[in-house]
Amino acid sequence: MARGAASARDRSILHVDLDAFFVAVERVRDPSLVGRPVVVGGPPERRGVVAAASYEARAYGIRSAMPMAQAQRLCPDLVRVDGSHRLYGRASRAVFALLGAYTPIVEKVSVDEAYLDLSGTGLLFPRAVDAAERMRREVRERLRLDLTVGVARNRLVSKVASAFAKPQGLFEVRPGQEARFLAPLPVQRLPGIGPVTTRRLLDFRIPRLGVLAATESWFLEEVFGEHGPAMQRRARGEDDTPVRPPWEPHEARTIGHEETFAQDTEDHGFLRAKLHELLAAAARRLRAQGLLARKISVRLRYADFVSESRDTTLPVATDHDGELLAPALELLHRMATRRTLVRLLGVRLGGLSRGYWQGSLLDPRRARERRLVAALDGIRDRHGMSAVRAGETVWLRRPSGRRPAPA
Amino acid sequence: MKFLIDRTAFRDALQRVEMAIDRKPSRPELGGVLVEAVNDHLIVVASDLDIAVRYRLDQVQIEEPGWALVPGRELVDVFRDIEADAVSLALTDKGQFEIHGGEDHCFLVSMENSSQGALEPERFPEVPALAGEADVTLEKDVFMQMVNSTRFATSRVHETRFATEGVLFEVQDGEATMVGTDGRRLAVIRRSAVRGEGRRRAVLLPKMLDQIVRFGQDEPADLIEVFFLNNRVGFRIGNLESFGRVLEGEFPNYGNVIPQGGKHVVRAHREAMSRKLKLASHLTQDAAAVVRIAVSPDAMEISAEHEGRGRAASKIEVDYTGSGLTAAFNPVYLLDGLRAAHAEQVELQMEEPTRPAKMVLGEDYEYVVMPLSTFA
Repeated sequence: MARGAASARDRSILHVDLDAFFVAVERVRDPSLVGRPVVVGGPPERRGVVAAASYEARAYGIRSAMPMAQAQRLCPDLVRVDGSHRLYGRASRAVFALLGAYTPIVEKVSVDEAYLDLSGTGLLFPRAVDAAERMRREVRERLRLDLTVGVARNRLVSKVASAFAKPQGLFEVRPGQEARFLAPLPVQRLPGIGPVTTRRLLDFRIPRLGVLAATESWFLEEVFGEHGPAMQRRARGEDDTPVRPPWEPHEARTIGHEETFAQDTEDHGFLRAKLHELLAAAARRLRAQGLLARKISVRLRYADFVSESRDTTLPVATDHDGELLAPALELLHRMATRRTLVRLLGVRLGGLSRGYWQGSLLDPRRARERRLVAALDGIRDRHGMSAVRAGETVWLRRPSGRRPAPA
Repeated sequence: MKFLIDRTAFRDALQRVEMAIDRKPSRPELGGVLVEAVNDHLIVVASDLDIAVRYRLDQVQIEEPGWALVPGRELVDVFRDIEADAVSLALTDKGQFEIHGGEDHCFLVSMENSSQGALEPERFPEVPALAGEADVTLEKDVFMQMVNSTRFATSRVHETRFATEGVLFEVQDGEATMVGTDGRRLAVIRRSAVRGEGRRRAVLLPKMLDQIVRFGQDEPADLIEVFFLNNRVGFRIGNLESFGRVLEGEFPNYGNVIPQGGKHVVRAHREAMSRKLKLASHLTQDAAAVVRIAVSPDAMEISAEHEGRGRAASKIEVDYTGSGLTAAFNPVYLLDGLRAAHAEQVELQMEEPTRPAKMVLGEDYEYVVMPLSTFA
């Protein structure tokens, strides 16, 4: 979506990323750390893990999330620093305050990473790379931190460009050159392509984004479903996700729970009870976030991997299990028509909105039920989900997962 | 039929019946206005099956009695623009309704007519005569106040379970009650009737009440007479008679809804509370407006937050000595109540944040609002 007058063609998006941010901040505090292999993280005695590693430490093969003990084995001279997240927060705010002078449209995605939309600031900086260069200089001179910037026509390519330019770099992908830039890169460099997808792509001899971009889209659709063609568009460097400043609320996501059964089943009683349980868990998360749901979808996967899903929209948004359960059961009822064992059941709540629930004066039953739900949530917070169960779900606790035989 | 009449007087009469002219008539007659010239007065009637209005004009010079049913919209429009002070209206030999004033000359087709004088339209809906003594009589101003105090709370959409699109009108042994509710708020007002024995009850169409409030005020009469007919209710104020279909369906048992006072009783200045509510409601989510009311001794804080736009909070001084309590409301509901309040000082009674709150907006005038709740 283009913002204001800037059409998709002349958007100018920056992805900025602070290099080895935690380590860099520690080095500002203690310059003696400069040039040495440094990690931030807890001590090995307390089973600490690496939260951040300097480029010198990375040269030893040390990576984030690695156990500290292992990191110290890899590099005996390693300097370990306890993290100070308050300090990192302050440093991060100082950086983004500087960047905010270039454009109000800044979407901070983490403490050390953000997207900036510079579209329409052409009078200040005719070329976005010049603005990016000045940002890097300012951050370096004023805060002594290094910034890597990727410049492109959209978010996706700017992110890949900054990863490409790291560390201490600046890389611009000129408009129209997106596909050419991405083509030689391995598929896993594209955000959204994880290890599982990568493996499948490699199975099909698709190692590079250029190959993915050129593959027949019907084939991708066959293999990856609706994600296939979308993935291909991204591999061609097409993306129109807007940069969302903090005052624009994020589009509502969905909240879902699903479960693959230890043993495939065709017991409808079991499925109904499972649905009840999954829905209760999803609704509880919904309530904890102060959201209301308007849509429910129920998904089944059969033993032969055929999947089926149905959804429905409620007349009014709610966060109450009782009001979600009946339509969910109805969906399940309409769906489970094949005489095949079921291996997975899932429920998903969508159409989420932040909101309050308007009770009715004329239907006090609903208000009473809500007070009950609130009380149940309280009990479950203290004693766990299974502390209180709906009658229907009780026999789910039996190890066989089968309905007890009548005596 | 032939008569001479003052243009403004006839135009005003048409305005009074205008709301009852069917805009999309299922039968052409329902879009018509019945004009009847009796010996010394003129009667104008319109009816769209939901409501009907009959208006009597005494300042008229009848030359020949008779009646005609003419296209309503066109008649109203023509009279809005005709320029002469006095207008003569007549049924021609060809059965046309002739309007002649100064240089203006219009002919409307007559859908049904009689030059003989006897009123016997065939297809126009029958509008009952309000004869004999009324079932209930109220002071006109009292009736208007009752409507204005309850009508706003009615449901705007058709509810399947209850007939809450209408206003409940109940009379029992001289005491009249009106109730309006949409299920989320409820307004109830009680007043004494001038006359009215026994028990009468009907759910009234808001459209009819609107017509009465709008035009009944101008009638030089102090009383309103109410006639409970079969499936209709008729009202008479001076020369104006309004009829409305009685809404079928059950009306909620409002007595159960009204809380019997609350632990927390806050007295606030109506105008001050309104102003702060308006301020806070500028920062509420468009679709689901929420304001939070927090009371503490001598203070009420009204705050709102729009995710991504900002927040607002402001305080007013109130008369309150209880413990702290916070509840969330739809600001529109609170503002509606305050706007309708009769007194400068209103009372807000709350039990707990999830239970209905009651506002006392005047003498024998209560307003119950269901708060908004969240689990987070």
